[in-house]
Amino acid sequence: MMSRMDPQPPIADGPANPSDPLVVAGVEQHGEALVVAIVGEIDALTAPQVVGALGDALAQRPRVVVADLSKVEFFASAGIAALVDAHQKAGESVEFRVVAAGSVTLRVLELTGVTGELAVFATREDALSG
Amino acid sequence: MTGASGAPGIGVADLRRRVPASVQTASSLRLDLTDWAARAGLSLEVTEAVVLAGYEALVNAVEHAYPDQDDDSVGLHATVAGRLVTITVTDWGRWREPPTDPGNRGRGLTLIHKLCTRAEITATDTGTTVAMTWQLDEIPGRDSPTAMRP
Repeated sequence: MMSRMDPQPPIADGPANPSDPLVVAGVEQHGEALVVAIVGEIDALTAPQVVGALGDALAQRPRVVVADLSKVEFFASAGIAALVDAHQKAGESVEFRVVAAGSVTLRVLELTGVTGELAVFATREDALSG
Repeated sequence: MTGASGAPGIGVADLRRRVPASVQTASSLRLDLTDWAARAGLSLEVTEAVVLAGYEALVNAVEHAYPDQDDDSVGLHATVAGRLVTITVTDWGRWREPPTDPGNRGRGLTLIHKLCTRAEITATDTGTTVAMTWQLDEIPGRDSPTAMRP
């Protein structure tokens, strides 16, 4: 199962070429929330892994799913699409929240106007307390 | 390279690439662009904007310019002259208008326009060129509230 207390991030399929950009999604359970902590670079090549990791967490139907982008170093429009996709999959029964701060992630979300659509928090603690 | 000392761009060679268009090569060109920006001595903010806007233009070329064409290559040119950085992404396919549903491609184009000082898209029957310029004295998007960091 995806849900685990172990902070060691399980890897979604890694790229075959080690020089390719890499993204890793680790899942942690915090009470009624599943936190998907994404580390690395989210571009068009790696976004499908993020879609998969968020989809797996949402499929467990916890009360809250948090996508924590605090350790994301590159964030392209494909990453925004992954978040919007998760937001739509969450529907009414799961609350989908995003942790983003700084120029790499939050600024990109703001420039494209999706901060009005997604619930965005500055820190994981803020996101968990809602 | 010697570009990191003194004024940005002094002594840095232009970056020129022409490769088969794919999502993989777009990511690889993104890393080339990041390296070039470091050699050119660009600030972190300009580097982030240049790399993201350049990448969005590359992905746009990869995903939408070649519905059924033989020449599937995409070109990237990066240059800095004085206080002006210019990134040009060229494809030899046919430009397709963004769908009315903004979706992901709409967001990519929005980012291109908002991240640079000026973006010019030139589409002809033989290909499309996206030319993005940054005037180094202004940082686009700075007026956005993101400037406040936690």
